[in-house]
Amino acid sequence: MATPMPSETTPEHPKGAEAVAVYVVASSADMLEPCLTALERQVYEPSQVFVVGGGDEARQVAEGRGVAWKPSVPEVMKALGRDIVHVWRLSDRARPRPDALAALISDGSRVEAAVAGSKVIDAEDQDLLVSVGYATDVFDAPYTGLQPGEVDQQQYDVIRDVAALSGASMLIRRDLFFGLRGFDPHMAPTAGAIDFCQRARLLGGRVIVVPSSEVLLAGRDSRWEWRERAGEIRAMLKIYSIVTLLWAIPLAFLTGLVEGIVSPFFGRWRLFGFLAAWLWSIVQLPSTIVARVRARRGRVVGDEELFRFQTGGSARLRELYDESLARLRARFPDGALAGLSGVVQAGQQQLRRPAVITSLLVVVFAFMATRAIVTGGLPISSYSLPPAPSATDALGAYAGGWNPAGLGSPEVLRPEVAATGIVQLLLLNRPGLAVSVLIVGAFAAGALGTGRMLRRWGVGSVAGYLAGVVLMAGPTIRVIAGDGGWSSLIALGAMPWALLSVMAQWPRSWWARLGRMAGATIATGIVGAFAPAALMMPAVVMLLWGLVGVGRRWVGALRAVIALALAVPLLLPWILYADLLDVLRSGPAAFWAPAGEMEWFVLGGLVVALVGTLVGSDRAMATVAGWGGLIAVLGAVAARAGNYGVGREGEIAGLMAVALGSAIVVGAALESRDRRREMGGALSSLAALGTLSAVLVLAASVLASLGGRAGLPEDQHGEQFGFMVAQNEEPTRVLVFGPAEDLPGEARDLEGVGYRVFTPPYPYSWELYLNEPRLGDDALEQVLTDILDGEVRRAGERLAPFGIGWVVFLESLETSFESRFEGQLDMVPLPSLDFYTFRNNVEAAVAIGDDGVVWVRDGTGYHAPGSGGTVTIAENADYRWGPGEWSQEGWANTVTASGDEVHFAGYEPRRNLAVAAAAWLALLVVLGFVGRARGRRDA
Amino acid sequence: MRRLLLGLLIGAIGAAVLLAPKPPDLPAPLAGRYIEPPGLSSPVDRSIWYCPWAQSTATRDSFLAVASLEAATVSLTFPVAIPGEAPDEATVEVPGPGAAGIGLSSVAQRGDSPSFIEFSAGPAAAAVVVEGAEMVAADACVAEGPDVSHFLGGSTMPGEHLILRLFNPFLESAKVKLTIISELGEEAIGDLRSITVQPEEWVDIDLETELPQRLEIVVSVETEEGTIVPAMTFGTEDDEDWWAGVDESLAWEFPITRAEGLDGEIVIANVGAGEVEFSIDVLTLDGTIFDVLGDSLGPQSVMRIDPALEGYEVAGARLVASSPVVAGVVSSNESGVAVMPGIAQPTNRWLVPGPRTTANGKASLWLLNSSEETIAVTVSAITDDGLVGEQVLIEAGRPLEIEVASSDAAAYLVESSAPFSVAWSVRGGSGLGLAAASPISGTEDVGSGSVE
Repeated sequence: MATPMPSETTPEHPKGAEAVAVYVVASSADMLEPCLTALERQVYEPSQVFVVGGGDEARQVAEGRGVAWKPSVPEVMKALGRDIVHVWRLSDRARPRPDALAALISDGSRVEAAVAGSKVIDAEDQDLLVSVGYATDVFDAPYTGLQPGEVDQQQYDVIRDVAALSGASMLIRRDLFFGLRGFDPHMAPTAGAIDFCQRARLLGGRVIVVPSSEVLLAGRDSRWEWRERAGEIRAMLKIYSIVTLLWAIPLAFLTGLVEGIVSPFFGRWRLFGFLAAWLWSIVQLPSTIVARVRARRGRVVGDEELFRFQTGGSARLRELYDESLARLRARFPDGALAGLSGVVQAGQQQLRRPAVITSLLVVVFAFMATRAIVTGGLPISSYSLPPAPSATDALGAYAGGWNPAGLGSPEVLRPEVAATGIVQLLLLNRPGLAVSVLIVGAFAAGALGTGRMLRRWGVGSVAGYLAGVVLMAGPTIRVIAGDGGWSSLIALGAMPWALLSVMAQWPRSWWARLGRMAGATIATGIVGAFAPAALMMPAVVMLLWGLVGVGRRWVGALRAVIALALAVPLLLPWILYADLLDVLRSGPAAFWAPAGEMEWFVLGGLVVALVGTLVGSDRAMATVAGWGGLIAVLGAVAARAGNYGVGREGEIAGLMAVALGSAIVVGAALESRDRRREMGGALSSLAALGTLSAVLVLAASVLASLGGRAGLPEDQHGEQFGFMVAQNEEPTRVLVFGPAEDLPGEARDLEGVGYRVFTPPYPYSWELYLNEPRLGDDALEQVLTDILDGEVRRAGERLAPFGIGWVVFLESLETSFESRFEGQLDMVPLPSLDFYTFRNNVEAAVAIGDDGVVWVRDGTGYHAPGSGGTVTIAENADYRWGPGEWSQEGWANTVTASGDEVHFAGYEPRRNLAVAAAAWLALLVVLGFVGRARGRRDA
Repeated sequence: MRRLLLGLLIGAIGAAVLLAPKPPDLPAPLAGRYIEPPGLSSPVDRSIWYCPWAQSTATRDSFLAVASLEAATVSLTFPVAIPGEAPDEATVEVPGPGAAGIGLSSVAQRGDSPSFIEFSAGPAAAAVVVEGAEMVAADACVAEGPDVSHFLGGSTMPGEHLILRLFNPFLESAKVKLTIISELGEEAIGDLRSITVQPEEWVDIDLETELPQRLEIVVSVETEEGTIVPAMTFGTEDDEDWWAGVDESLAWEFPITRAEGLDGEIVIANVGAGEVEFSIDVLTLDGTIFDVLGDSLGPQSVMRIDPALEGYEVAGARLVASSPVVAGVVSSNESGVAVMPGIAQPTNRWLVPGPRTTANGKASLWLLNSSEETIAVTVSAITDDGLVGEQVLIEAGRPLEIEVASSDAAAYLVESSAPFSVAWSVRGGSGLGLAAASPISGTEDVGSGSVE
């Protein structure tokens, strides 16, 4: 047992009721001597004093002073007397004032602190504050809150709870000291102190700073800065929950990387330290995991308790920011930067909340998952086609105009053409930007909307937003977007908002209710416009909630049905003229099946998450998970009902339901992590298993989205047919043969071979869906059949009237269909390309005047380069072509134009319906805004 | 309980999803279709005939004869061997059944003018007769051809010229491989082994320059890429002739090998790798003399046989071999020479555009009945008034000559209920032309029956 040190003076040494043992962490003999001298002067005499570490020199110093030397803290723990109540940890750089320990004991005991720390002052300049406890940021980087060179004017002299204390002087309650086993020996001093204090707080202990206890700090810490950073990473890994780590660790990495890149501009080189810290963390991961298990055992609070004492943002980046501001202030007059600083500070307040951080991460995810589209444009492949170059043309075509798909027709276009056209119009007629905004917006909206939606049932924001990631990047996205159906992604992104609008708490004022219903209608309308087969999904989903949910559950279903009814007029005129059953049935038979082991794994994870949550979680989450599971399996039924007539669009609608259901299950499973304590026992373990599975599903979804194409296929047709477009010449049509799934848009069928006609370089989205065959389509089919039968040796002559100047085979067919074109007298084979291409040696044009001049396409019409005249238009015959005298030329049109342009006059009733739909949309938008504003005011 | 029910419901629906039957697989594209590689073939009712040899110069002209059993618009196209230059074109209308002809000089007078002729209806056929002051050449145009075309009957002795023409009427380049055998065996031909012919152009290969002093030359033309129409022309100081290539066959018929003022020799070539045994029956006006000549022919070799028999002036022949061979007849008289490949496949109906008795010579149809029964054959002249025909009987194993009168008939339809062979000749002071008639596919019983 150590003997008390002799004292040079004999001040009053009150023996406190609580015995204290002191251990000094020694680094060198020079530092140790003054520290021991300061200890001797303590008015509150410690019962035991130890020196720990420091090597032989420190040992000699200690023994020379009659102080026990121990090689490590565990040895100190073994040597502590039974009567010891507190353990005072000191750094050998510390020079505590004589009343330092007494103040710690008295004030610490008064507030029942588990850990109490001293105010640290610079030993050389005793007016200079070093530390009055720390806040940390979420990445456990310390934040003193002190200005550089701040003088101690007792401005911080109040006992308060802090995130961490300086390791220079720390009074620890004995039981906690033993329970936490002291500082983590793998960590640098400051990081070790932060870690110790966080572990203490996790066990319910108070960590306070006692400013009346003053300690002078001499010398400088000689450790590498990267060890502190590495310690902070280790502290995070030890202390935070899995859900927090999922976003905190990546963000820590990102902010560290940013700091490493920016710091050279401030004369610091932190990149290598950043890399070293992370490498060290990876190497130490096994021991970190062990330490984590130990640290979290018996915890009584969650991460939220730690967040209370944390600042927002990154302390290190803030430090750089503060420094940059200081430099700017030195250059600019006062006041110029005040406003900027205030804005940043307000923003930083918001960043304090994990929900905000997660939502920001979700937005980042949305950009990451769609970056290839934003930077490189929409891939052109299969059903992924860009909008028409002119929004007004697209809107005009929708409103009773000409459908330009294939050989054209007056058939009504899909509402997605109009919806995209509206967005395109708002973005100053930039089609690429419109698609990017829609897709990126859909991803962000879908993820954020899911979080908002799930919050209705008490699912936390973090879990909800992460579930939104599964919605937009889950296993079914491969199929939903895989054949290029980007419009389905838009519908999926709007789905949670359609549900949220009807299930959220109904406002009190009538205006607000109108606004809410308007919002629900618009969201439902967006779903229906971009995925008509899924129009009824919000109502069906709410009806399912009515069947299985809890609480007032049928009201939401009623509102959803009303929203559906009100949304139908938004789809005019399409919805009046379309064969809705045909929409569900068109395309290849639906039979979704997971592709590859990864997707089966993810599905298995979803099942485990569902079962775990359904069985092991509380009633609320079990109900939500069950609802999600029901939506998912019913969606899967639709997605595999090809044998009963369901086609491509029905399959996609089914998969949208699977995505929605999966997201709901994942959200409930993630939320169950916190609720499972209520269940306890084996059920709790099941819920934990469900949470883990949900995390795996989430990870797989994020991984799958790393490609950056939002699940869309690679570009296939963007450059493929560009060579067919000659400068200053009106392009002729190309007839493309191949498997239907490889052709752009919908394809016709010739004895199992898909084919379609379009004007190169590629068709636009308004040409996605082909019309019911008309005269021209039948005539073309007959020509192709004749060619196939070997009846034709001048195929060029037969195809020229259709405006076809090129014939392409994307794939060589086993039956060598393309060889029929090789023996033609007027088709020139082009062997140098990647696929069989034949150029028509007979002059072809889509619109040609009787003088042989080719008319130029203008939207869906044509204009003459010269003065006009009679023009033959290779589009399906329709009497409304004009202006001028129209006649039918076989299956095509001949117009003696009254001017120099011809166009389809349009179908008046359909135009009126489109205008009515637009007016209805405008009214809904106004109602939405007004209702929301009034609702806020009334609230 | 509620959770259990919900779980069971989800499980039951999930099981139904897993057990959902898979939709039937779509049939393979174009299932049941066999699409032959492209070649010269065209539909009977919209046929295209390729005439690789036609000339119009100061000293000679070509008569392109067309005939159709249905009213048709006939388009003649003469590619110009200048890149980017549009072809010369002509159109004639043919009543159905009808025949017409056009002189090449009325369309283009620039020497060689290979052409192709398109009929808007059919069955139809075309032929070219090239006549000059000192030559007559005649042959039917071709509507289809084998993958490998063989030419025999030519030689490159002093005073003779032998030219192989490779005509590409299509819009893609063609590439061919040549193999030439002579009495010396397979010839080493160096660069000639592979020839490329550009679209809408032709290549003439002067064989007497490449392989002089050869008594027998057999050329095999194999198309490797694209499609070409080959033809051979052989000339002496007195005359020249042209003919199309043929495939190998186990049997050949020669409606005429010898007649008054006409001597012929049968040329046989074995282009295969093994030895072949063959026998030749001579068919005379008195009946078939069987197995008059027989021999064996080694691989890659050629043989010329004179089937002349004492006492028989008019004779056809029939050759049968143990393996496929190529055979033809080289005929000559005091005024000229003609080469005609044999007929591998007798058929019921033949269309013969081209034969005319003019001041330059006498035209004859040669019919051969190689069967064992007498057949009745209807020979109809296709005139402006339609078909004007007569029925003749041909006894078993006998040839028959029918002289073509000097009339406006530019074509003949020769048909019977049983298969037989038909050739036609033009004999005159300036030269000799000999050609097989054009078979009509899709034969029907036209009422002429065999007569026992």
